[in-house]
Amino acid sequence: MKSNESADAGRDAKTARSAVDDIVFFPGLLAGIPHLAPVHGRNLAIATWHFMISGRTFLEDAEGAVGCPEYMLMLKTGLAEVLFAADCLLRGAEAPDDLHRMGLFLELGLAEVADIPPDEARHLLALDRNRGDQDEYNAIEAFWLAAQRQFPAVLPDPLVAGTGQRDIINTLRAWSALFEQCKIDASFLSDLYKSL
Amino acid sequence: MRLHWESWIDATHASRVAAGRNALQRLGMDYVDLDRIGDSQVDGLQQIFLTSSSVQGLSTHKSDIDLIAIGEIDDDEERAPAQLFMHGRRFELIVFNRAEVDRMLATLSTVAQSGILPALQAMRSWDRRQTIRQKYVERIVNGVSSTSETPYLKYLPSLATVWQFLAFDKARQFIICTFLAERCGERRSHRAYALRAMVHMMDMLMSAHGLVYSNVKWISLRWHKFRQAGPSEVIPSTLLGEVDALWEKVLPAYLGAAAPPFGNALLALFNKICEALALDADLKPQSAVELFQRKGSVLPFCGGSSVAFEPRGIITLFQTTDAQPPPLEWLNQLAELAPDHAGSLLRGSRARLVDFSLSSSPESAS
Repeated sequence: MKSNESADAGRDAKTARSAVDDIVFFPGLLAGIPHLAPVHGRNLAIATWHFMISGRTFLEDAEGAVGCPEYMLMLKTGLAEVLFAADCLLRGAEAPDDLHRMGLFLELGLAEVADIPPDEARHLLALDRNRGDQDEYNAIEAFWLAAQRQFPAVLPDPLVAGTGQRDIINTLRAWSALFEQCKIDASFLSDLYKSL
Repeated sequence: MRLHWESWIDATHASRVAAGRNALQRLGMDYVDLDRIGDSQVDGLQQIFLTSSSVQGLSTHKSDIDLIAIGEIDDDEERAPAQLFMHGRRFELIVFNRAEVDRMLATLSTVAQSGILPALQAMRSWDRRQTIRQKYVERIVNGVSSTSETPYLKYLPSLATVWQFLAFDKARQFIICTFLAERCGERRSHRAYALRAMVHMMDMLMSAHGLVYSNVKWISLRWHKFRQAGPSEVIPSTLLGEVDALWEKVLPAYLGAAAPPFGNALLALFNKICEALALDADLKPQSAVELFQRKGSVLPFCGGSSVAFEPRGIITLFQTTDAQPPPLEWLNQLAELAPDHAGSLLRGSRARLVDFSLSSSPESAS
């Protein structure tokens, strides 16, 4: 029984991976499109933070939620909200309030994280089913890992024992120095730090 | 019927302590081991608490172990939780001093007695005014110390009252947006608004039972466990059954099944819940026109379009007709809104020109 489950999980993971293999993530980020420093600097930092911290936390929680559809449902939703917030920031906009994030995600899908229409985005994040099983976790993990692989930077992982938190603090220090050079108000970094 | 708090607090104490002990034992630890962690990390450690999913009986094999210590730390010192890796898990530890914990709990009691609108206003600005952020208030109240005590559980009635107000305000906002999305013809968004409206109505009802946990991600699971635990002494089982029945319709729609309009069903349920909890469902929201005028200015842009400016610097493009929303005074007007009016209100809310939270109403600002 155990080996069958393991084989099923392996097949599910493979299927989920193939579904995201063709997606081009962050199509505009390295295209050389000019941006104004104060908005893009802040937005890029917060969006990167979402990929370093917020989304990873939801994914890790989701691993523990396998077998519990009620919890998994809210975690998949939370991950979609994080992705939509990052998407808006990378568009050069503000992240919408919590009240509207999921409504807008269902209505618009994603654009800057990856160009994915609403129903497909919902499917890729397993928001069209609610079994809370390994298959659902595999789907969102595959999507998340593909996005991380294509993110144009190696993202420090605070969930890694020993070095993770130090790497994050070093990243915040680097951003602080960068924003000072660019004369960007860096006060939002302190909110990011507090949210660690 | 109201909860008998004294016996409830005794039962909650036993449940929190047992849940925490189980969570620690899975890591090969017991409560006394928390002192060793605290002593190694905190100057002048006075007390250390196990909090969050561990004491709520919800933790999984991937959950963080959240700790709060009371020690020697200045009020103005930067607060961020330290992350420690032990026993194959991540521990988060944040430190407060005794005086600020006492001050925070006194404020919580005052806020709980102030009535719904002043309480919502106070909670809206809580994180700006208090050194202990909102999410840690709940953790402190529900926390179990290294001596297996829950010294702050006596503040649970205040916390539950304030939490019920917050859940009421959130449920109400999501119901409003469900109506607006349905009325203006958006194809999918109302499913998300309806789901969250349900989730916060569940939270309202659980708060009435002294069941408070700050993170929205747990509400659906907590509700499932709450319903499995048996009949309520506070809320009629028929009403709880109605919540389950509507959830069984809203959830499949959220997942993509055919989605009928949910606004009227949500509002009817909300009214019944408010009646059961003695909350005034008909609190008057601000007039949307007033809000557009107060919060920002709308100026012509080009050929039938306008740009709305919000004081904090947000600008949003509207069609000029959008910038003239109708007055919206009572929730029962929502079902009759014209599609273009509903659309303008929904877009105004997204653009932060309209705020449906009662925490922003003039009555609560005084």
